[in-house]
Amino acid sequence: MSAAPQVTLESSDGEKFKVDKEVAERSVLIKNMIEDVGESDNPIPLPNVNASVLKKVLEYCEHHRGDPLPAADADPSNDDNRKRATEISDWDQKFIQVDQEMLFEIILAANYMDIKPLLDVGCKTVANMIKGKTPEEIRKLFNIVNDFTPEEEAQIKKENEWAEDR
Amino acid sequence: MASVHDLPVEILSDILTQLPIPSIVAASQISRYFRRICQDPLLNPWRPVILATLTDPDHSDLSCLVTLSEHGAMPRQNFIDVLSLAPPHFLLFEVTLPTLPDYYWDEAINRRFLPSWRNTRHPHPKEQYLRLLWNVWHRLNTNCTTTQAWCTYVYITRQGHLNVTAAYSRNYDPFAVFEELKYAVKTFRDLPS
Repeated sequence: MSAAPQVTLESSDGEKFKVDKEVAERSVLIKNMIEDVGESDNPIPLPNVNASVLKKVLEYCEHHRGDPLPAADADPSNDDNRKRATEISDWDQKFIQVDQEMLFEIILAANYMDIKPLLDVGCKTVANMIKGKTPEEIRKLFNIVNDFTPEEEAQIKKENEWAEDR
Repeated sequence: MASVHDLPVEILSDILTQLPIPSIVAASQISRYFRRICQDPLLNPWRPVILATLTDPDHSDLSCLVTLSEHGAMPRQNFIDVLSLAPPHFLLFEVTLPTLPDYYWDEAINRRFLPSWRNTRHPHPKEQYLRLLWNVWHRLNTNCTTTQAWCTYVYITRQGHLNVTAAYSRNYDPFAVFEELKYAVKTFRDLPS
C-alpha cells in the first residue's frame, strides 16, 4: 500500500511541517496553490503564519481531516442561519481554549489560509466572550482604550437613557 | 502579538453579527473604532439578528427592537426591514419610529403592500405607509366595514324598472341578489290586496 501523499509547509519563522496533503487541503489557500503549481517537493511558504500558530492550525486540520468541506459560495442568508444555529463542538471548545493573543492569531491564520470552519469557531468564541458584558467590561477584557470625546460620551449616555425610558 | 484591533473589520463585523442586539449596542459603545464598524452601512452587523428576530414565527423577541431607533450607531436602512416585516400592531403601537427619508418609506410600501394599494390622495410616503398599515390592522382586528370596497350593480325588472344598488365587494354574489329579488317579488304578490 502506498503512503498518503504529503506536502511541506513553511512558517514565517522558517520552520517546516510535513503533513498529509488531505490535511493541508483543509485550507482553501493551500488547496488552490497545489492545484495551480502542481505536485512539488518545494515547501509551501506561509509568510503570515508563525510556527506556534501553524502547529495549532494543523492540529485542527488533522482532527477534522474527514469532515465535508463547506460549499464555496453558500447563500449568505443561509450561512448566517447556519452560523447562528451551529454550536461549537466539545473538541473545538477545548482546542480553542487558548490565551487571547493566540486566539486572535488563530483567527488571522484561519482567515489568511481560508479555513472557514476554524474561522467560524474563532469568531463564535470571541462573540461568546463579548455576550452579556457592558462596554466597560469589554474594554477591560480586550484592553481597549475608551477614546470617545466627552461630547460623544454624553450623546451615548443620552441614547441609553432614551432607550431605557421606554 | 495580535490584539483585537489587528482583526480586519470584516471579521470584527462577522463576530458582531453573532451577538444579540443588546450586546451589539454595548459593542458600539466600546470605542470609536467599534462604533464606526457598527455604523457602517455595508458591514451592518445588525442586519442578521434583526432579520432573525423579524422572521421568527412567534415574534417572541420583538421587544429588543422597540427602542432600536434611539441608538445612533444603528444604520437607518435596517428600518426598511422592520417596516417590511414586523407585525402591524408592533409598528403602530409599540416601536419608536425614527425620522427616515421618503425613499425608505417608499421602499417599505413596495415591499409590504400590493402596488394597487397605493393611494395617490396621500402623496407623502410615510402617511401612505401608515394609513395602509392602519387599514390592515383595522381589518384584522375589528368587524368595522368602513374601509371595505363597494361593488355597485344594476338590476332591471321585467316591468322595465332599472335599479342601481351597492353592496360590499366581499359579500356580493349575483345569485344571492337574484334569489333575494325573487323572494321579495313573491312576498309582494302574496300580500292580501
